[in-house]
Amino acid sequence: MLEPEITICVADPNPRVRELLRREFSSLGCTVILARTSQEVVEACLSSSPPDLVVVDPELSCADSDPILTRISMFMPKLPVVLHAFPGEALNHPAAHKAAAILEKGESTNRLKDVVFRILNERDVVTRTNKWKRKDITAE
Amino acid sequence: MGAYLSLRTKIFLLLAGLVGVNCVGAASTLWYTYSTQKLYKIELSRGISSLIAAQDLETALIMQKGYTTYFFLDGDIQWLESLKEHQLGFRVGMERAENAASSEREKQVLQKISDSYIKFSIQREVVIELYKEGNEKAGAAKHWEVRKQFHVIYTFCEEYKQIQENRIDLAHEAYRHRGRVLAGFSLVAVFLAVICGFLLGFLIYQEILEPLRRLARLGGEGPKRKGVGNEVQALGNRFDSLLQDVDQAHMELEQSREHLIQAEKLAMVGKLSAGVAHSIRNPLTSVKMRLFSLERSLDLNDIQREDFEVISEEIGHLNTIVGNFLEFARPPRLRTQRTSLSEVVDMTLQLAQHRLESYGVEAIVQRKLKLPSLIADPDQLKEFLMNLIMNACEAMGDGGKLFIKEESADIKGLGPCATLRICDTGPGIPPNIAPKVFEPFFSSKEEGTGLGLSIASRIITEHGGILRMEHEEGMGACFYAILPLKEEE
Repeated sequence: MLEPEITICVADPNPRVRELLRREFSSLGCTVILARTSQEVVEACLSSSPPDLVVVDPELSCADSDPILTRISMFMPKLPVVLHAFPGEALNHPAAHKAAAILEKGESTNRLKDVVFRILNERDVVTRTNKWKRKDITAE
Repeated sequence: MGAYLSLRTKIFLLLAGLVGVNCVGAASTLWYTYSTQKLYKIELSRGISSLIAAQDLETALIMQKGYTTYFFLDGDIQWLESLKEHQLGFRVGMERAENAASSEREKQVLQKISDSYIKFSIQREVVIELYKEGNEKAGAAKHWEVRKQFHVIYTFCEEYKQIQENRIDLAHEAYRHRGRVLAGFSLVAVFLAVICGFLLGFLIYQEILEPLRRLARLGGEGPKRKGVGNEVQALGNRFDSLLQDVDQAHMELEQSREHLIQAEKLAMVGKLSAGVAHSIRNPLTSVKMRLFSLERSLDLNDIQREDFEVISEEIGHLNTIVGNFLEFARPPRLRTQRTSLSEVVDMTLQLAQHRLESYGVEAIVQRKLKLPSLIADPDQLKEFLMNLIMNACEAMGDGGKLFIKEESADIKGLGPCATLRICDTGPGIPPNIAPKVFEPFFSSKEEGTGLGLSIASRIITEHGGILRMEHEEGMGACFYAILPLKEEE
């Protein structure tokens, strides 16, 4: 029987950032889905193996006028979303209150991983999968 | 109706009325006087002529009676010659009277005189013949009948004379009556002229002179003057002054237009710059994140680590400059909602917790009661507060305290307000740079962008509030923000 995995969707317009986050989360044993547009995020959410958490930049290109957070909350209201935004923009984002956490982009990825772990832990995902230990982050 | 007429029409109508009343009055008076005089002249001359004729008739009759009596007394034929002359005079008088007679009654009386005189003349001729024949007794007896006839003629002449006197009296009466009518007419004309003149004067005063006076009083500098002397001259001076103002305004408008063009150019440059800054920030963020990643795996000596840290810090600085620039270039647009400043303070402190901890700063909120809600953009207020918090953290550097005091106050000119006093225990702002702290791109820090306080000030101004710097004893920098508790529009 296969062990269930943690799946994280990383949505960022910058491919370098996407790749960096993919590498960081993969190194922790997570499955990472990369999304370039909000449509890809929605598709990932509606797929047979939806992500356990989404890390999203609010500047992600959106096909319609709805912010990405609104669209995600529309399709998967219980899916935790971490807003990974530029300083200042995160505070001013209109859908910021819907995010599980807001983090400033450009900081060390350790803090991002720490926050993601805390959220997943709160929602019993880490315990359930037993794949991601606190030490995995703090050891780095 | 007067309200629908223009001032020009009103003045024109009143002037026309005034001229009309005067012209009609004068023309009527002239005509009436002329016609009255003419009538009076005709009636009077005719009456006097008839009266003279009547008088002549009486005189001729009396003279005839006298000469006849003289003849009867001395029988001198010479008296009869004189009698003939007066007979001729009587006829001439009768002709004049008949010519002057205009009424039926005059004609009837004249006819009676004429008939009686013929009868009288025949009887008198009979008596004269009797006296010539020497039959004095028969002549004297007949003479009494002639005398009776004389009295009859005389009575008719008197009646005719009375008619002429009455006629003259009537002419006098008619003249007086016409005089009274003319006086009444003149009085009405004068009354109308006075009313028209008064109305015209009132209109000119009310609609022209008084506005002119008010305009003239407005002219010039300083308080209103009581007397303006010649209003038109004062208005002329005022008009000259206005023309100068117009020239000045025109010049300023030209300058404003040039400034506007310049501002549009600058706005375009700003927009382009914002686009460039936005494009720069994406790769810069990626570089920063990669550096953090690289730092974990590299085994650097001290010099390499120092270089690495400087590179990281400079990239961080660049990122801050770009971020602040983008925030400063953001067009002013508030997404207002009913919110409490106390909640904004709590949320901002929650968001800034990591930063506060990293700077070793303790935030102390001084709150008696939660501030009443106001209409504001909570995200912008968070941005404002975050800027002040970051400013305080950077100023204190190595730990300190940040006091945030919340109060409600009634501020003159703004009404009921929510206020925030944010003070730190840092070194404070030197007095020489205090006036410039809100200017964009002014910074006393080597690595400051000079936009944090400028953005904070702009956010408060956009909310209709005031942000000012204050000095508080025992404190470092102190900022006082006032936000009006205005009702939703």
